Formats: sequence, structure tokens, C-alpha cells
Amino acid sequence: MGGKSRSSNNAQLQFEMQQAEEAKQKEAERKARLEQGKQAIDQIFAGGGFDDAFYNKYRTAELANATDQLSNQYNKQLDQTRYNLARAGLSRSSAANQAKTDLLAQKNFQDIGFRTQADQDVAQLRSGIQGQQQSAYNQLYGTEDPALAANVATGMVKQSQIAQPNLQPLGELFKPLVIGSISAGQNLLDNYFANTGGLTPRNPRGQGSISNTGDNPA
Amino acid sequence: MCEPMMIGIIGAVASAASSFASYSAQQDAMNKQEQANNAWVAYQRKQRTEAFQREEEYRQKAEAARQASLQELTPDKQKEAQATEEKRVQQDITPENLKDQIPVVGDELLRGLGGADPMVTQDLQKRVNNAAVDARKRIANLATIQSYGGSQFGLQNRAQDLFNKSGQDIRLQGDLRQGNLGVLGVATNVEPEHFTATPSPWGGIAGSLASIAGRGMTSGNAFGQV
Repeated sequence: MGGKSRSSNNAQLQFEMQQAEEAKQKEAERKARLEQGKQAIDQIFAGGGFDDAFYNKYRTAELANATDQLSNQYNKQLDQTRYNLARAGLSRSSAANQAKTDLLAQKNFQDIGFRTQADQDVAQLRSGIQGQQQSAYNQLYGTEDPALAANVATGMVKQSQIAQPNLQPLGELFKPLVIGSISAGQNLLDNYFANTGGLTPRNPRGQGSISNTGDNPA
Repeated sequence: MCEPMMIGIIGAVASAASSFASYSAQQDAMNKQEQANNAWVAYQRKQRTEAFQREEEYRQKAEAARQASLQELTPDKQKEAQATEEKRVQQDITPENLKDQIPVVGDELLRGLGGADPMVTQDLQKRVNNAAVDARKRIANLATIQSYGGSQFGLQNRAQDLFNKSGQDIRLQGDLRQGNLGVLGVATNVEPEHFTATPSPWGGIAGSLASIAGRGMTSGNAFGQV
């Protein structure tokens, strides 16, 4: 009687022990898969595949996009300054040197800003790739743990955002210089005569008095 | 003199019968309990085996989805995708008048230059060429930048798309797995049938008879004889 009872209990006990052994085995397999999966992800994202060339290509393009526009505007502004200096008779003067160095300083100032921005954007790109790595980890954990799987999909979008540099054409980067007080004074004088009737488009030299009566001049 | 002895014998027999009946009932209950336990173990084992098979099937599907996206996110694949997208964007954002390698000086630009000095027209041609070169450089740079980021199939959108697709699959399989585990949980809560040995009424009668017989044998006054 007692033997039968022990036999019956043994069956359940053995079943429970078998369950425990199965759980242990499954956990060991899960752990192995996690370690293997993490290793594979690390190899992809941190194994040197995304090398400096990958990031430099992005940096070079962004920098070239900005500095080409900067150089273009600088050259135009330099030409304009030269013309203005020539008109003012100041081509060879300390004022000319001042104007040119001021332009160059502005160019350098902008250039530094672009390079800093490009570096920050590359950092964002690196961060985006790291975000991909994190997303890959999350998917690994979600695959091995169904309780986490629900959060996997919703977390994806936020992980891999990278910054977008300014792609719009740059505005006026250089502050135009007013060169030559003579030119400025001449403008004022011209305006004065124009407003007082001394000079008109029909009488650019200011000779004689012309009035518009509506009749054809003889 | 003979009667008490007879009664005693009957009582002993009744007592033995009572014990046997009780033993038999208990043995029967134990047998039934053992069968029930074995059936329960078999049921649980079957449920677990089936649940684990389904669980493994769902897990493998999730793993396949995960692997599929991961294989598309290797550096080589991403660089290849970036280069392809760069070409596409470059073609896509290049204006029609810049498609040809040598830009055409449009009629609008040449208007009023009829009979002009060749140096003037050559200068215009040169300036147009320079403008085209500048534009092409800008287009190439923009295409590169966009292909890393937010263009239609740029790296950012591509990676998001891949993660979203596999994420949805993993989520679906995860949901199925949770349901499967829930079903297994219900099955695990099923208890084996319980049997208890109830005393036989014949065993009680026999026990009473044995008690009376015992008293009769000691007093010689069985069944109320004075």
C-alpha cells in the first residue's frame, strides 16, 4: 500500500524534476543565443565596417556644399570690393587692405562655423548608426523574450534619427562694405539735384530748364 | 457455553471482513489515484510538448525576421544602398538643362548678342559652363548628404523601414507566444483527479458485530442474556 503511494508521488516528482531540467536547458540555450546574437550585432556595428571613410564621405559632401557657396560669395564680394575701391580711388591704400582683410576674416569666421557644424553632423550620423545597433539589440531581446516583443516595434523609429544639415542655399554671408565717402557724397549730391529739378533723366547734365507741358518741343 | 464461542468466531470473521473491506477500498482508491496521476502527468507532458513546439516555431519566425533585417544592415549593404541612393537622388534633382554634359546656352541668354564680338559670346559660354559645373557639384554634394539621411531610400529611412518590418513580425510572433504561454498556464493549472477511500458500510456492520461478539465472549451474556 505504502509502496504504491510512493510510486504515484514519484511519477509527479519526476515530472516536476524533468520540468526543472527542461527549464534549465532552455535557459542555457536562450543565454547562448543571446550571447551569439549580441556578438553578431557587435561585429556588424562595432567591427570597423562603418569606417572613417564612410563618415568622411558625408562630412566632405556637407562641407563642400557649404564652402563652395561661401567661396562663391566671397569671390563676388571681393570683386565688388575691388570695383568699389577702384571707383573711390582707393585700390592701393590701407583702407583697401582693411576692406580685404575684413572680408577674409568674415570668410574664415563662416568657414569655421561650417566645419564645426559638419563635425557635429558626423557625430549625429555616428549616433544614428549606434541607434541602429541599439535597435538591433532590442530586437534580439524581443525575439528571445516575448514579453519585450510588444515594445520592439514602437521603439524603432526613434532610434535611428540623424541630423539633417541645412540644405537650403545659404543667404548673404558677407556684410557689404561702404567704400569711399566721395562716392557716398556724390550720391547725396545727385539725389539733391534730382529732387530739386536741377538734374532729371531728361536733362542729365542740368543744362537749361526743361519743363514738361505736355506739348511736343519744337 | 457454545454460544459465546460461536459468537466470538463470528465476530472475528466479521472483524477480518471489515479490515479486508477497508483495505480493499483504500487499495482501489490508490489504484485509481495512481492512474489519475499518470494520466495527469501524460496530459501535462503532452500540453508542454505541444506548447514548446509552438513556442519554438514562433520564436524561429521572429528570429528569421530579425536576421533578415540584420543582414540588410551590415556595413557593406548600407554602403551599397547609400551609393545606389546617391545616384538616384543625383539624377532625380538634376534640372533638365543640366542633364547633358555640355550645357546649352539658351536663346534667352543669347538674345541681343547677335553680331557681338566672339569674345563676348565665348565669355558667356564660359560663364554658363562655370555655373553648370558649380550646380553639378552642389547636386552631387546634396545627393551624397541626402543619401545618408532623409531621402526616399536614404540610409535613415531604409534602416527605419527594415527595423519596422522586422519589429512588426517580432511583435506579432511575441504576441502569439504570449498567448501560447497563457494557454499552457491554464493547462498547468489543471489538477489531477483526486480519489479518497470511503469506508464500506459492510465494514461498519461487521465491526459492530465484532464488538458485540467480543463483549459476549468476555461476559458470557451475549445478546442481552441474563
